[in-house]
Amino acid sequence: MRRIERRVVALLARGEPDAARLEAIQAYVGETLRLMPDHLRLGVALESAAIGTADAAARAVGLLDDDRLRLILERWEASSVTPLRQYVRLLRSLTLYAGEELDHAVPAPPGAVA
Amino acid sequence: MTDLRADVVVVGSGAGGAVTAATLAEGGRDVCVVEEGPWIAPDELEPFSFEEMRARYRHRGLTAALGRPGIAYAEGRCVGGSTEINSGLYRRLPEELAARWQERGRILEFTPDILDHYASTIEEEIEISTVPGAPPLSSALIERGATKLGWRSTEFARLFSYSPDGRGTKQTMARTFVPRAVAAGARIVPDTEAVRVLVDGGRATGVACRRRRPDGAWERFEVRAPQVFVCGGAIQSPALLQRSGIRGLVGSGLEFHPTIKVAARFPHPIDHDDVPMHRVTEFPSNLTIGGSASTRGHVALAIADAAPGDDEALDAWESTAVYYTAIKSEGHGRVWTLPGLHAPVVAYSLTEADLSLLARGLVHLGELLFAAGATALYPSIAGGPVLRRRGDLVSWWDAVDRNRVNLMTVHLASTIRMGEDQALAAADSFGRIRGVANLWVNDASLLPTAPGVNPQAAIMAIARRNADHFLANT
Repeated sequence: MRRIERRVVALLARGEPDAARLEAIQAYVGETLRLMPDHLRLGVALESAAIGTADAAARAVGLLDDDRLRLILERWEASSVTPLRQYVRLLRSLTLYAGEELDHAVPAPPGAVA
Repeated sequence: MTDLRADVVVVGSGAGGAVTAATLAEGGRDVCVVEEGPWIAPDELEPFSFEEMRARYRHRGLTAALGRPGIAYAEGRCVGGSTEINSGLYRRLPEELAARWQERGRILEFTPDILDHYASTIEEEIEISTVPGAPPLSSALIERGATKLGWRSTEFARLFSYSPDGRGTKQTMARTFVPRAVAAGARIVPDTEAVRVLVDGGRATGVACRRRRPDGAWERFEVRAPQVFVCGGAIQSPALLQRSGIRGLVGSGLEFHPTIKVAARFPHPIDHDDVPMHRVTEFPSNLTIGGSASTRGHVALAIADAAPGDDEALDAWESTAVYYTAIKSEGHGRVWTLPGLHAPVVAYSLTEADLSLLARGLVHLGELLFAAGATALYPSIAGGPVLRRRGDLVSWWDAVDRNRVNLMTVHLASTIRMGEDQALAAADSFGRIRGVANLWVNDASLLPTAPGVNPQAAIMAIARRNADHFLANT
């Protein structure tokens, strides 16, 4: 999982999860992204790279803080450019699903395949 | 693992593969089933749970057909295939549709009588029931809304058995036809990917396989068999054939049922353990209304499209359930395998008429849910609008556009159609692939179109028919 994707997940997580819970959500999202079909993962990775490059450049002059990254995500989510909109939707969906289910998952019985 | 030998190798263990394996094994053939996913005991995971998503779904459910809009789809990847993760609804193939398929594709021995015979055979072998007693509230609400509107609704039968205390058990393939196949001597090889079909001198001779060892390295071996059945479903079967150099019509003509969801909030708590079994049957067969899995996570996903960040709505998940409208699309898609990419690329083109029909279905779904008592509706449309009054439903007509609507599907079909019309069908009337001897397909790929109803009954009946034909002729 790219560093920028971890930041995006942290911003999209509902409420203010503690470090352990946020780590668990990020781990789930990262593993799920890794398991995506190659061509879909490539598209996500390119978009992450676009934000990540902006992040790296901006951090040098202290511009891309969380508020500005959140603004980028809001703009992408409202964009008429489908891949940009879907990028935010994908990461929001995975983050939300993990956040809602991780705390409340029924423990799997012994021997269950994870 | 060393190479294996069998009379027949079956790739995949879902509704097509499990029925094929059981029929052939009980017919005296030495059968080996290669399944890419794990073999998980049927009771090990809670249905529709987070753990099930992790363990039984291909790509954890994160797959999509490219297009405008892209359409998410889900496939099972485990022993039992998608029968392990679906809602188990059972609907025989409509007679008029079977007649159209027979005529369109010139399918031999595909009369209503023959199909009825095989459907009856399956129904004698696997338990199909309606819910004993009152249905769960999430399902009864569909009936309540339909009754208020003067619409017809029906409780669909499901592949379920019920204990005397009313506890339902889904009759998945891992619980039914896979054990039957094993009892008849079939071997099941889970966690093993079929890489390509082995072809020698124009004849299929087996399947090249690989499986991941505990140390992470790939272990490669072959299952040698003079007869090969590919039953990986409408995406994976054409992908395997294409990777084996068998192309032509293979992978073209993908059809499915594009589906749009609505999270409906009610002024009272609602059940979340099962999938509603009622369906609205008021409309023509190209439009269906029903209910979906509604775990806490599913509800959150459905709400988030229309109202991202609405914590108050998310907190009310216990009073919220997810419903859907699905259409029989006029569009088509395609499955490709491309060099360097492991997963097949899937694309689908939705027509303007499809979008219009989806909008109509969405408005009808809204009418139904308000009539059932819903107080807020969250459609799977970016930015909504979230509705709280029936009078505002008109706004959904314009909201269903390619840039905002989020669609999904689970019923994938028609990528290796059967029939004698060689301009349409890559397989003959009984699933034999043209151009390669001893190679068969026996799953949803064979269906000439998406059926407009849950396809599992049709897949199982046709798989049984084709397996019987194979036994009688080879």
